[in-house]
Amino acid sequence: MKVSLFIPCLTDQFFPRVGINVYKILKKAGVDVDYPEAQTCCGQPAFNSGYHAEAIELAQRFLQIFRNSEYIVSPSGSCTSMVKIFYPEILEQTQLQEQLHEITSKIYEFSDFLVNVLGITDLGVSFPHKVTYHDACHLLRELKIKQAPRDLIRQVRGIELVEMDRSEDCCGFGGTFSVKYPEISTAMVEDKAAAIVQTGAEYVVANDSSCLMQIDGYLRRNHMAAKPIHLADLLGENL
Amino acid sequence: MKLTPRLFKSYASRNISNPRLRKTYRFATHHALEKRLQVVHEVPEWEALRDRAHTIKEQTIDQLDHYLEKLESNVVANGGQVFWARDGKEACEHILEIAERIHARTVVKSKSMTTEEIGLSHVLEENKLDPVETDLGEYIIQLAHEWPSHITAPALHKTRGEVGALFAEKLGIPYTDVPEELCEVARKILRGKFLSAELGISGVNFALADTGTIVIVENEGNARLSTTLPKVHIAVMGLEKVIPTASDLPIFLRLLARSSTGQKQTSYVSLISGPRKAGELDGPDEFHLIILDNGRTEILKDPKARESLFCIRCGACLNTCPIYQRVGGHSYGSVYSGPIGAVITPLFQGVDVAKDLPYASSLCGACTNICPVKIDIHHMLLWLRKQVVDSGGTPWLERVAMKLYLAGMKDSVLYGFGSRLLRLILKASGKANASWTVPGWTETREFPPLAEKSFKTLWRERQQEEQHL
Amino acid sequence: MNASRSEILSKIRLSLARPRREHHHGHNAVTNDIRKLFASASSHENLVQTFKQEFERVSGEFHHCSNGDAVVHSIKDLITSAGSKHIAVSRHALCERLNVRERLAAVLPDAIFVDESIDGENPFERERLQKEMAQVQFSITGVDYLMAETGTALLVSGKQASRQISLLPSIHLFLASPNQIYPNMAEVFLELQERHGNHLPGNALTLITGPSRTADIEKVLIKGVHGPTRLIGLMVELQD
Repeated sequence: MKVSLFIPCLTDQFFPRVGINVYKILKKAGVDVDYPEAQTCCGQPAFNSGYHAEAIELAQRFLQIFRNSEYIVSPSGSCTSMVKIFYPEILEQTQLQEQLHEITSKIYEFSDFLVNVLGITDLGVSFPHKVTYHDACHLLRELKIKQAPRDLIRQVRGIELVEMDRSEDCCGFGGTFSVKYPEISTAMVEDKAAAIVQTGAEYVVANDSSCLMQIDGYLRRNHMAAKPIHLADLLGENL
Repeated sequence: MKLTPRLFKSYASRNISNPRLRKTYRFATHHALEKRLQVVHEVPEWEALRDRAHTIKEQTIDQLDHYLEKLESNVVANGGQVFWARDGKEACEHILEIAERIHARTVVKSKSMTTEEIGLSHVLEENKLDPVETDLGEYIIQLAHEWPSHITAPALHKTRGEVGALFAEKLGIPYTDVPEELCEVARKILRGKFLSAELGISGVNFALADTGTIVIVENEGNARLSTTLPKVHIAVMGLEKVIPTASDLPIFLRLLARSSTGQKQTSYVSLISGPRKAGELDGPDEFHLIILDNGRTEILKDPKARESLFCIRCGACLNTCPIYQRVGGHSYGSVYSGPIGAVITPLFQGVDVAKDLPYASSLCGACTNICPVKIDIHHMLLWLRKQVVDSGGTPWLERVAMKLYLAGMKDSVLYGFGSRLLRLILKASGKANASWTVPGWTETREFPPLAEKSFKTLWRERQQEEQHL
Repeated sequence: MNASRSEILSKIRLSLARPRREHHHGHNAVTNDIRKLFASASSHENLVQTFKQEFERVSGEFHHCSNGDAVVHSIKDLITSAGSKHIAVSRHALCERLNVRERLAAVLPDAIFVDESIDGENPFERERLQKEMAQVQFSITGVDYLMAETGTALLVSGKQASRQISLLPSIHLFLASPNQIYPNMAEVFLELQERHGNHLPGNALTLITGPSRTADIEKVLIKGVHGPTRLIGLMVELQD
């Protein structure tokens, strides 16, 4: 089985360890992994801001780059959603329906892939800490993934998972929304941070670096104790 | 405050920093969500009901002309009269004509977002009539000269103290902030109005095409009173409110109250098919149904926009929206606020007027998730953003940035080069680990440093390592 | 017919010539069978019990009587404890059958009864009735259907009852029998369709679920806003 990594631009530039850890986890799971180096961005920033022409160009590029992959796995719910859910919308008028279908049927967010394709929840990882989990919006509502990350977390030895109040509430990132409407975005992450702190967790886990960036940004500025960690890092660093 | 979506940013900014308002909205929306959750959990068929309701609306809109004609012919057969209004002006004029003919003085109005949309009360007042909002929430905002801050709870933004002060000032009563007492005051005053009004005006929640019936959903009883006691009843409906048959109604009713107020059913649902029928002991002598366009046929034009017409005005999307919860309904500068308001306001008024609304969302999708008729609200917001861009509504700097972004992303060599160059510059200037200043972000949050090596670089290094092993 | 009508209709037809594309956001197979959509509330068992439970949940006051004397007695007590003086009784079948108005008048000699047996076609009569009804504090009617799932009563206006009799007084009491209870609203509407086809049995039908209420001020639940403050349901199980 061969998996191609799809590493979002944000991850590439700011959180590359996440990508390395996904690689490590997949290797441990016995999968062959490659990384089509020509990849850059799925086009979501353009699409989310209403710039379809730019998004379409990048989408077409994406289809080309990944056309020979058997599976595509990404550590980002939002980028996976962009390809799986939104590419069909923006490429509706093109002749690319076949390639599109190919790609959308083989792309997975990484926890979904581990649990629902590989059937693995236990990686033999140990992480004796109290954690809480944030449901990233795209992951939850576009891809409908809620249990897979929790299944993976629960198998970690020594871990204590505490659910936070309103874990499904948006963290307030929303792409450029976070800078276009900074007051609203901050008000949202303020509540998220309060919910995290209330659990007494040492770590807040999520499957999206953008959410973690937003949450970490607020926690650090306000000198709050909890530390954000991507699920891939939690598992991968402790393999 | 001016009623225009152009001012969203400044209204939102002001409202979000008002702690009392924040507290009021937080309490009200969370309360509504909790109540809703309780009654939705009891219905295992909930998802199936949503799907069916969506399909009924879809099928109806797809044959809207047919169902409207059917509705009209059945209302007329039941003794009612039907008037088609292209816009709010026509609807108001027609209502004035009727009011004049019957020498109406006092007009009792039940809660109707559609009549808010067309500013009916103002028109009636300007023409020396006395329009009285009889729904308690609407009565409150009428006294306060405000527009509704929520689709089903118009005075959601007011505390009991504010209502108390308002009543004391406008009604000349001693101050009280006890809700029961305030309600009793309103009941007494409005009972007199119901009994003396010559004209009653209502909205329409659903119109049943096969039986020629309008359906009004309420809790207070003011709609029943407004449509029973006066000699003439005028019902104003947006043309999208029609559904094919009476047997479809239970599906919508099972969804509506639970979504809106967390009740299994509202206290009253009135099914009115015409004026007093022969044999009836009371009821209006005349029943008029006004079928209102006011921009809805424009929405129909674009197949992508049509779904917004499925809305049954439950207000659930407002309650669950993290933006609405924090900026409140008045920020939207439109009688329709929240997620659905952010969709239909640009559709009704134009993306140039309401260009901030589609962007005032983190696209979390909670609205779509909660909508009883499964309108893809947040996807529609995304599509509206495209409309804003296509109509030139975004800053030129942003358009330039997008072009640069595209240039950088579609050429991996350029991307890689830029990535390495950036790091070289940062290292050279000693700013590699320094905090960045990102306008809009760093005022309130830390911004992460660029990783020393990008994933691409780490990958290449790892591959080289593994090859040498 | 006005000119706007043809303009609006032709705009609609023009727009609909452009079809909507298939919606592909995960819709399940849709069932046309309305009964399936109400399956969890479709039991015919313990209908009286279910109705009572739901009715009380929305602050309805439920009473049970097994004969005419008990009915009159209960109502008399309720009227007396409420201190109501002006009473209205509708001409619903159950009220007439139990001869409620006459029997109540006999045990409440000081009460003033409003009679709904007016000539409905006479506008002066109707006006008089409305004025009298505005004074009524306690009304007694029958019902046409009850729905157990939500504790709802459906009243059809006509000769048997005015629209206002269940609306103007601050206390409304209805008499019902167990065979009028249906599991849910869908069943009632199916029955209406069965009996009346594409017509409703009157120009005014009202579904009543508890007394009048509002939560418009800080979500504080207040009962008795414009409609009745109290709703009383008397389930009559006669022995024949």
